[in-house]
Amino acid sequence: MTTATARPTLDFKLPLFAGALFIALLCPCIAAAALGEPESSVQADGALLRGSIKVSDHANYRLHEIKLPSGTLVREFAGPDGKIFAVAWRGPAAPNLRQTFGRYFDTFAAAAGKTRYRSHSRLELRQKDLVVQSSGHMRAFSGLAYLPQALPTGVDAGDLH
Amino acid sequence: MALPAWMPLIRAAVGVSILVSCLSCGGGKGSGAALTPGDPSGGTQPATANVLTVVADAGPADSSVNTLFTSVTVCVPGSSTNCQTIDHIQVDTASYGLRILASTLNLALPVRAAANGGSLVECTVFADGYAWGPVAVADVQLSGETAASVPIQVIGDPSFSNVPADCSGAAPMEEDTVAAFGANGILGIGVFAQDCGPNCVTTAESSAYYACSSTACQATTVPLADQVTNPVTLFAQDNNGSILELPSVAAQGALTLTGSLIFGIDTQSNNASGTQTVLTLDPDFGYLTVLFNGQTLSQSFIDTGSNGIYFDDADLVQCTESNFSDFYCPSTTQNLTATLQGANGMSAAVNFGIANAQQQATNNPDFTVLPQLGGPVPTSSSFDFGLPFYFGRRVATALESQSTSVGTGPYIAY
Repeated sequence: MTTATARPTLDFKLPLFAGALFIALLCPCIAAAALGEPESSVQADGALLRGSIKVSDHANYRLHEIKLPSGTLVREFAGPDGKIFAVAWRGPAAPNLRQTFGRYFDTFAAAAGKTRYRSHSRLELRQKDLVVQSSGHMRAFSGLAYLPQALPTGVDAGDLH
Repeated sequence: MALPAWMPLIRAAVGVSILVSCLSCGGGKGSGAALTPGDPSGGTQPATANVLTVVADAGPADSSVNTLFTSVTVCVPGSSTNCQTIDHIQVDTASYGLRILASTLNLALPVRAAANGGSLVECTVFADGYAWGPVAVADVQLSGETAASVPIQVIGDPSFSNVPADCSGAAPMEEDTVAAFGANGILGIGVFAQDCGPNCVTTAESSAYYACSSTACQATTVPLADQVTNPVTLFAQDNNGSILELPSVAAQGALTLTGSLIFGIDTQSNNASGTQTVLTLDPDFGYLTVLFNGQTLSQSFIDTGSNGIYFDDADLVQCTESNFSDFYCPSTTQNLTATLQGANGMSAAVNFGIANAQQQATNNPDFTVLPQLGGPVPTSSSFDFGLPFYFGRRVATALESQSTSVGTGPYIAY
């Protein structure tokens, strides 16, 4: 990108700019994402979501809290096996769920919206391997996604919100 | 991301691009051009200039329940002839600003320029999907009320087809068509003046506003005046809020429902405050508190845009059929009570019933009004009173920082 700024003409800059942006937009898809992935992937999430990370240990899990610039809080829960089993979010702006859900986002997207009475204000998906609860309205979003089969012993999904 | 290094490039890139471009027109699918302003069914003119007729029906996607619609007239700014009336715009008290599906719009509205150049384009995120499209400027007529030069969103404009990954990743579904969106647009008349507010003035949110050149989009900050704006706040009069008045509905439901949206509170003879309870909302999120089953649910809200009563109750069983699995199916109708509590400490009890969602759909498959439709809420510490709350009530929504004879918004009163 520093090379690009040094280029002399506008004609030459545009394709480079577009190329750089293309790569930047592609990055969230390439990077290791969180749900179902090792705890180390939280760092990638934090970087891509531009958030600061705080880590705390709890009885049956370790909690990584990512505070986004908007004020939205993304919380990623890691089990004793070192893998992320749940992601929760709450705040004024919706986070990039494709990034935090990782390989589960496509499952989520494929199964969403199949209910008889759809509403913009809520979405609930319950599958054997994935539960997603998303709710809210403008300026107030919240949700929880977890892997039921990966919930550590002693952890109740209801406590993760 | 090395943002400062990018900015000169963005400026260079958009220097040659249109500052005020025009929207390409949709395919003329809008069926509302011949309708009378203020009446979604195309019938008689409303009696009073500040009253908009609202209707609950199956909507343009023929799939809606408990969804309130109205007609909106938009004009090219400054023109009284270059106008279009669009029917089946959803009425939503938990969003802010007017959004119209590009496919229903036959007008060439000017697109707002972003602060640092390029076109201002927005990603609107709902719990179930996202809507992408430019911010355009229109004069908006709602019944006899007019708001000039209102920033609105045009959803699904083919001139802006590349959705940034941060937008498409924020929700599971693209809702850029009438079928996917379930309406020809949405009219957000909730308590806030802008859809994002102060946050977007200082922070380039990843799922909000973008500056788009012809080749790329970059998240951007937006001054309040350029954000998609609740048109009620821009009326010359009757601009401190609105009152929604809907008739009561028999427990088993109804085919359709017709009511009134009255603009202004204590500004005309038809919108006076009475002896109702004023419940103030928290100024950041618009929440109030609901007390239910011994729980204090502090992130609760009243929302015409929610099509049921959504709350958690371990005593209620969920339906078994897969496309009803997110609704309650008790064997007999359950009569329940909750208490709404404002930030001001005032409270009011609400009685409501929850019936078997599957049986209701089987018994009356054509009903679009179901007062006893309910299901679990996806978020703990929340109770979402959707459109059924408004049946048989006259509910005032006072906007933030606006005063009435009984208080200062944001509040709801009924």
